[in-house]
Amino acid sequence: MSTDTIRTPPTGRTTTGSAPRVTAAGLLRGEWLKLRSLRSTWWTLGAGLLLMVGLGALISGTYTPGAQGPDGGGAGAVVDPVTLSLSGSGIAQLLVAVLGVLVVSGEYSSGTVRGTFAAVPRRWPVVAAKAAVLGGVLLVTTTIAAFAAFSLGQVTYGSGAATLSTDGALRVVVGTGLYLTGVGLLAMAITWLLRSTAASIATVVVLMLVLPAISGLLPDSWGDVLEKWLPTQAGSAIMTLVTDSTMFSPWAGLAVMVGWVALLFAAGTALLRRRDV
Amino acid sequence: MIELHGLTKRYGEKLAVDDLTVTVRPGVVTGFLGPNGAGKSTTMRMVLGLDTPTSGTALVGGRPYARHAAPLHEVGALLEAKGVHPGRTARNHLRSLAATGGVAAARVDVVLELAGLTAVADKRVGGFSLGMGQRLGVAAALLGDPAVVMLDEPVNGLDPDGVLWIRRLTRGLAAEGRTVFLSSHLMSEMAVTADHLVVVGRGRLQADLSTADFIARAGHESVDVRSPRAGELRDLLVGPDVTVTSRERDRLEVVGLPAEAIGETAAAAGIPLHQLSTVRPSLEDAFMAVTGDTREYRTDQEVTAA
Repeated sequence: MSTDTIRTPPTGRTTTGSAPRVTAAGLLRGEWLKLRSLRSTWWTLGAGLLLMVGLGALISGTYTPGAQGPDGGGAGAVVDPVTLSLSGSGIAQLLVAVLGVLVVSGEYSSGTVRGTFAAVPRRWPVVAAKAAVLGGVLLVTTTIAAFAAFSLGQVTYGSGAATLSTDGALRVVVGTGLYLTGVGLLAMAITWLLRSTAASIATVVVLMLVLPAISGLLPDSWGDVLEKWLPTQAGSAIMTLVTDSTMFSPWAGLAVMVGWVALLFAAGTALLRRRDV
Repeated sequence: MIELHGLTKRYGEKLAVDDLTVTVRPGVVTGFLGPNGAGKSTTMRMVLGLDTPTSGTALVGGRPYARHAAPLHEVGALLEAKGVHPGRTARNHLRSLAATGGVAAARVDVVLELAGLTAVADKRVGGFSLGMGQRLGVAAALLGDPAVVMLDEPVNGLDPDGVLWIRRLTRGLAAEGRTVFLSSHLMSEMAVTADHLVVVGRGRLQADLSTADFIARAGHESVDVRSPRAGELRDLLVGPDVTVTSRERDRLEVVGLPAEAIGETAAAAGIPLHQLSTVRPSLEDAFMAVTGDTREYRTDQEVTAA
């Protein structure tokens, strides 16, 4: 500290110029800065998308028509080149969910959230800005990855490969990006409710993997409802080339998933406004 | 200006803050003093609207914090937690906070410089020492050029250089007419930094007075004298405003006379002195006297002794 700094503190309260004001643009810029300034963002997202493209290419290349499907499903499983090339999305969705959790839980675990909510006392604009930024980043990156996985998968698949003009192929590829974006936002909404990294990731895993797995063990009437209405089960219809009668139709399924996400965000925001930080 | 009216926060059975009514004025440094667990941090979080009071109100500049159009221009706060993601650089932390709060990005460089962090601005905060973390917290607090600066335990973890920096900085901020509200559990630090003290214990207001008054409460200055002819000296010293007590045969405790006067009296009478020292009242004693038995955490030994 030089003595100059002490004599004339450069903190001088500005009497001219405009006072800081919370704006939508500023909030979005702040959240974008927060997201991109962490290495974990790029590791998580990068790993997820690389796995998605790589696994898709690998599975498409090693698949032998007539043999067992990639998920061990027997002859009854629908295995087409479109689905094969995008089968890496099963792994990618986990990493995308982790990113959705970390974006919110990182604020709580580090204490940054206090500064954030001190800057924006109404709080909900922060929820909206975070969702918009994560949603935007995921939509762009996962859609690009879906097209990449599809294209590369068709190359490795060889003869009989699909093109984007194949019936439903474009919808499935675009839908994969939409679905993965939905998964990231679903995880984010859950984390606004639960706040901790561990609790949120556990909940997301139960919702995405455990519940669908045990739904088959439940009495038929319950299991069928659960399997149909769970957010990721319903949402995955958009990535399914040929949906069957036990599932929602592609766009209806996506709408159900969006409904879940909206509901969880509404609950999280309502709780957030009342809760002490 | 911060005005607390009957501010109360209850967590289950426990009253963390109990009916606190205090006005923190601009232009001076106000120390918020109390043992750990006295409710200082909770009070500060309620001022920022982060925690909702069970009852009572906390106003900043005449209205609740959340009602201000430009919150960061109203209050800049350093809260006890480091409050920065360890994976982010200091500059990126401040830039994102500035963007979120609508503060001009140019302020980031100003506060980095002010906190002496320019050289490490692009290092990730995870590698920062506690002291550097505190400096970053102070930088963040000043980002919005706030009318009220509220710092929770700012000298925690700071080296002597940093302590001095905080002292000069807060005095400078107060001199600019800002309201400066600092919490601490360190009486000695507050005595030299704060002009005014708000003392709390177990969530309740124990004292709201000037630092000078607080120190006066600690008791009088006394002089510790050792002499082989203590008895003779005693007779020479006693007077209307002077009290002399003796706990040991060769030792006197004199209140009401400066050490110089005692030394001269002894020299004039040819009485040898083996010790002549001024004893200032301990600020910790004053703090203990004011907070009484309100400390939250005590060792068994202390409880037995008390």
